Amino acid sequence: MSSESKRIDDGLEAAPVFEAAGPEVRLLGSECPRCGAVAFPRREVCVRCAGPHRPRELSGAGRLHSWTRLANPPHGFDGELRYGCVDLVEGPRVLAPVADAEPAIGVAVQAVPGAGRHGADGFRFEVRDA
Amino acid sequence: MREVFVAGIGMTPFGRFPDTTIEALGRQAILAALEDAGIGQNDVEVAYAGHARTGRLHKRENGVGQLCCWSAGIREIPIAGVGNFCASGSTALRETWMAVGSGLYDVGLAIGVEQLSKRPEGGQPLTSDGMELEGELGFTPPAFFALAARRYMHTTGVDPAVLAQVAVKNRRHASLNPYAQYRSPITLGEVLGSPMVADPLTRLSCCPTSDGAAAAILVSREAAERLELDRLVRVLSSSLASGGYRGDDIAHLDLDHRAALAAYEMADVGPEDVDVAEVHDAFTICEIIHYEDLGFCPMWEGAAMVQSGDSSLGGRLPVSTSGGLLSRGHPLGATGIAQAHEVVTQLRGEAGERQVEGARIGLTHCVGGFVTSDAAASAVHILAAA
Ligand SMILES: [Zn+2]
Repeated sequence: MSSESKRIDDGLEAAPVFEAAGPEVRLLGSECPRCGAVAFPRREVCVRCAGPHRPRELSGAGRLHSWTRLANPPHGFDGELRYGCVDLVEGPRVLAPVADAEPAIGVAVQAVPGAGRHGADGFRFEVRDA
Repeated sequence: MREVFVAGIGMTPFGRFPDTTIEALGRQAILAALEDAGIGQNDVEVAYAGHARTGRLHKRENGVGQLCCWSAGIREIPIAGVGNFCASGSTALRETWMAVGSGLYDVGLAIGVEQLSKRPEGGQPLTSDGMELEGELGFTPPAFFALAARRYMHTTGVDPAVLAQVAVKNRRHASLNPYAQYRSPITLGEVLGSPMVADPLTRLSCCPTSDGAAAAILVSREAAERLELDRLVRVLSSSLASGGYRGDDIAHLDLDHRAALAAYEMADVGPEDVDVAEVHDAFTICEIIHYEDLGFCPMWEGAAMVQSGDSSLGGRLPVSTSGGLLSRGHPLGATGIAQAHEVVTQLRGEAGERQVEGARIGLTHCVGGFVTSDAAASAVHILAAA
């Protein structure tokens, strides 16, 4: 993906929320040194203990909590869109597209590059055999 | 808080009315509520107006309350708008309850109004405030509840035909409600065979695009006596909760559970005391999840309530006797007050063919919006025949 193309987080978040790492995507979150809570996207104040957070790169690995198939996806998306709810291994929950048809609930997934609205650079999750 | 009573209710029929205006809808509901209460415009001391999408769709982010009140002949009093997602109307009702219950005012007006049929992206699911980043990745509100539905089916083994029974039941109820948007009975096959929106939710498993308004007059006991008001229904409690952002099982909404517990505690009743309920059945799965989060049945056993007929008219605890969001319709900001309209009608014994015999205690529940993959706002009200 070229660095000039539009990203899904343009104008929405103070800092980038993801970065490519070879064939995978790392999610840019934060953690609370006091209570250990991990957040995505990055935040300043802990919603669990109200302490300050510090940035933390998240692996993008997680488990599929649930998924659906949007027959009528929103403006800026072509055709059918499969959408998932993923719990990252570090803790945070992420709602994002999933690449695979009929994935099993609970299966291991990994964030990889994917397209957002109007083809903007984003990420999606892919099932990993593990 | 002192005692607060609902003294009057009014609403427009719900439906698609692209040729009317939010002003006309609001006026109609206010005038109906004043007439129902038997009071005049000058008796109203304060008003709150719930509306969620008038900014984006009608270039009117503020001032809907003043507009509708002005249109109905109400002037000079304190008026404020209340935006709280799908719970905007419930929250306006709660603000009015607080204003009267605090002792600051004796007669308050709660209005909810919305006109969604004019939206430019007609036919597409509504977008949601609070999910901008997820939206850039394709998120829509039906997606959230489809995720909940699949998770629910995975855990319980319930299949889509069971979820669809909620839509059939609520349409059957709506057939008895003159205010409902859709009144022709539907079959299980029609629900399951309608076009897929977000698997496993089909079009008839989702609430429609709706226009409409609803209003309620809330009064103190003192005002009720002074104005000689009758057919009173008492507000036993009102609660409002926001998300906990913990990443709980997506098939349940913890904020609904917390809002319900708070409302039961304040009302000094339990879920077993509720005779009739209006819940936020924006999608079929929602009603089943709400049975559980509101304590109407044990966790993961909600499907049995619809399968057994427990939540149908004539059952143990009839739910969505108006037809619910699915069939009465869901003009966002108007919904919470339309729910109160139905429950008040039931508690007065004025619901005609859809009357729940001997209903003494009723509950309304609205949940709306998202913040970072949790729901944003949940409101519960418990009302009792006076
Ligand atoms: Zn913390």
